[in-house]
Amino acid sequence: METPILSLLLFHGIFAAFVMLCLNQCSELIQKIVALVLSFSGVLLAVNLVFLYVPSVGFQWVEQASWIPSIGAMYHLGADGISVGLIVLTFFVVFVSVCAVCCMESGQLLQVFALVFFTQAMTIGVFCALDGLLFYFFWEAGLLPMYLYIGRFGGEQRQHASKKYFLFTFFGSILFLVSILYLGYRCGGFSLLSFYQASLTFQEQQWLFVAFTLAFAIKLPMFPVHSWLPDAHTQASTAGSMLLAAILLKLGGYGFLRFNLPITPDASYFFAPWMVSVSLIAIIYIGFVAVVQLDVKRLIAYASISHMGMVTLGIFLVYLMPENSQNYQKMSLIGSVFHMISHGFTSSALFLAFGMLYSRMGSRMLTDYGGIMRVMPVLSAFFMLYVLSNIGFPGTGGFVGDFLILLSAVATDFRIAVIAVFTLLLSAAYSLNLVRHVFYGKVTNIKALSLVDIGVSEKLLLMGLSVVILVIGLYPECVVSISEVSIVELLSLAVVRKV
Amino acid sequence: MVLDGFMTEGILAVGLLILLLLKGFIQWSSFSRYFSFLVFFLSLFVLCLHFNSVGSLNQLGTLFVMDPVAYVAKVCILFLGCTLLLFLDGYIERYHLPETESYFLFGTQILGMLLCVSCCHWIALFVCLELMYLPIYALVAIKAQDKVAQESACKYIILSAFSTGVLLYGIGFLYAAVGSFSFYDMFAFVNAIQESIVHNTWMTLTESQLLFSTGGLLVTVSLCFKLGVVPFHFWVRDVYEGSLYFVTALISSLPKLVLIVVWLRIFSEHTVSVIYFWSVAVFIMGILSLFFGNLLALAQERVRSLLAYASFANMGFVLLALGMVNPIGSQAAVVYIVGYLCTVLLIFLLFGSITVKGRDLVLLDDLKGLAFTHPGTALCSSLAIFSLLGVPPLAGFMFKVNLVMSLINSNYVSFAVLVVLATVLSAYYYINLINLMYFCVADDHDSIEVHVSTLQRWAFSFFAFALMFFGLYPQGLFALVSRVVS
Repeated sequence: METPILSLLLFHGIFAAFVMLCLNQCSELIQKIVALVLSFSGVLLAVNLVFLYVPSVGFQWVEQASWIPSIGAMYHLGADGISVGLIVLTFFVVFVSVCAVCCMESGQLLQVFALVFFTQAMTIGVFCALDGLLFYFFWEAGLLPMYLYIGRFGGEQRQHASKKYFLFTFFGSILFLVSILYLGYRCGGFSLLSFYQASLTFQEQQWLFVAFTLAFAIKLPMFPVHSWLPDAHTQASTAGSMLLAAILLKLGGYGFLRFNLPITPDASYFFAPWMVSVSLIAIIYIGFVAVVQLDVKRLIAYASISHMGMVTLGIFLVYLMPENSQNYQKMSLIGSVFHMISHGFTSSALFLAFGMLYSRMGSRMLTDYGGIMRVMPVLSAFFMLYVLSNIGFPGTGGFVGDFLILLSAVATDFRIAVIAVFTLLLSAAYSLNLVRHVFYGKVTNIKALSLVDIGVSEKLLLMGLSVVILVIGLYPECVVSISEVSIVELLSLAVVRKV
Repeated sequence: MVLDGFMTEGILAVGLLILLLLKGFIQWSSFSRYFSFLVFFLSLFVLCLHFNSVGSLNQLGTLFVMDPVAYVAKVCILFLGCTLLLFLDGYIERYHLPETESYFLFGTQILGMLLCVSCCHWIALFVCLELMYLPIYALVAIKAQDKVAQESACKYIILSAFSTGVLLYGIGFLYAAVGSFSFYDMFAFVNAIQESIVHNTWMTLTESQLLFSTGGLLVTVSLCFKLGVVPFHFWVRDVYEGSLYFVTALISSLPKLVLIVVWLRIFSEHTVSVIYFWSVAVFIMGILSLFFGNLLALAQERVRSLLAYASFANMGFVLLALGMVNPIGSQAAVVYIVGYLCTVLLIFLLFGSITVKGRDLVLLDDLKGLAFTHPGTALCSSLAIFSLLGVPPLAGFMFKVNLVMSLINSNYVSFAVLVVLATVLSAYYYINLINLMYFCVADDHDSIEVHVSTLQRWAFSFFAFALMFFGLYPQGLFALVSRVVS
């Protein structure tokens, strides 16, 4: 019998969470070691997955078992190139955030670790599920750990932020549930593959598209429904922010790729101009909002929203391209997937590096900092690298996605490209503004004078993230080759007309 | 033998009478407690022995019937009854309640419930409903020195008497139309006039249809009153607030199951097609309950009021499923109500075991910081609350999915959307409860006390486990209920 590798990945997190909860009698050191070992074993599993992966059409490692036959739901897992990249991202970021917790937090670590591992399990579930109801099950269950994490271990406004996070996402996903159940009724089962084949009328597609979009747009988040994210980020602890920015936001983008494009292609075509406009608004408007932020975490949060605008832009540009431009369509989707992955690494690195500073200084305000470069040169250097990646500087991970999406924007419509290119300008503006205030200049805060640079373990952590960011920036083929075939397949489903 | 299927009720009835008789002679203080445990477990045991003979239709005269629905409902009632019994002695001690009376009243209303789910005759139904409700009124008032309890018992008994009057009035109309009190004669009557029905207008109804419709609607109104459905809901909040947590747990759970079973027995597809305006009325009440309950619950500051208003919303879900009158709708309704009442039972019993500065848990703010002082209690309550909200991986999610699926399958997609939107409203106050327990810090750490014995702790763990289990694998329950209902 074949090893059920996806179930293994899925239950890794659940198992780890239970192990952590069982360790409540042990000392903090043992808890940290166990958590590190468990999360590192997850990274090994993920790396193993990459080596096992053979780029080919269709889903791999498919597992199918009966779950709730009376309503037609099944335990149905499988992964393709798009999900493999995100799965690896998930395990890696979880490992880094476990390390971050070990370095920076103390007290009730067990609960923190258990929540982190539970988040990991649910996210992996979403990336692997091929059954609509199972997808929703993980999607919704993934809400709880982050809600509890923010509410339990967050800042002074944590109650408000966690409630807002829960209510926003719950509201978004609840119509998604109805649409999944409706599709299940129409197709006689919840398999995503049967959803792809479903013949839906244009009106049905429009309704489904709206319901899907509401769910994914809130999770991503897109421009008019983004206001929960800055609050959640500012109140969450460092590890929480990392998970939120690196993994949970990607669920939204993944949802667009898995649901909107292949299930409702005609509606996607119909709504594409709107989606592109909203994405452009997000890029410009949220970029400007980020420029004026005084709270560093808020600034990075708005930067994330703006970057996610690039992702949705890339996804929906596909529908605005002239005939016979499959190459650019492919490029645009690859750009979006790549951007999601690189943003996952970059934003978590930014949050981590700033978290190190925050844990020493206890302030998120730009005005409280200044001249950190003089006292913490190593941290500043790493931070600068991440900021460059965030701007989309050539050679870093952030560049590739931006470049591919902008290139396909040029191929679509020059006006769109002109607006979208502002993303580079604006992200340079807010990122460099951040760097100037925090790292350059004179030391204004007396507290900063007594700072000592980061220790070896922290250096290693930042080094690891830098290596990843540089590698995918200098050799993007390593990500592209994994997802390319699946994206081409997705594209063939996305451009076909059902009506 | 004639009594074959009804040994359980026999044992319970005789046991309760013996309890009353012997108590006069026996001085041992725990006698009532152990004796009623014995009687309950014996009757549950006997009921389980009948498992094989359920398939064959078993009737007691023309009044009662023992079919799979009744059997499953009885198992459910007795099982939950035994669970509740575990908690009764704690309340008797804490509030100095009259011991024998408490056990006797509790046993009698369980007996009423057991008979009620078997009724197939209007007069028997009326008598059994009274047998079930009279002890409940007394239980509401059992804290004799408490004025609030007396007030709510008075309100309850007067309003219920009124609704029972409506029921009797409806039965009268039905008798006038059908000419018999038996449900079977009613079904025969309905089948006979099935062809002659001309729908659409009030004016085209024949005389017997008019009588039947009026009767049917009056019965529906009465049942809805007892279920606590908007616009017949005014008693619910006061009664919940005034009674002990134990009694609230009782009235918020078991009677609802009984009423749903009675409902399913009376309102079959054919019956409903004869009753003019029935489906529309039920849907309207369902939607009103959904939104009215959730909106009012948002504004509550007291725990029991909040749960009272939240119960309207849940009854709204059930009514929408029942209003479709088809097997999948009925299955969804029964599954949902069983899940709901187990969850609600868990919540009320948990909250009932909490005292704040020596008094009952009253305000939401009393829950502040519960997770820090009593993590186990907080965990169980939060599981129950998330289940009521319908978040995976808990049972409530699966039951809600099942219900929404049944609405969609029967082409009521707009209702499905309304149901989930109402759920979003409910998210606000449920999340608020979690916030209070987990994220707030109590002003005074020693103020909260939890009174739970080991056995009760096991019962809580069992329920919490069941919530998780059915959230992950509900298939067994779904299959069982759909087999029973069809």
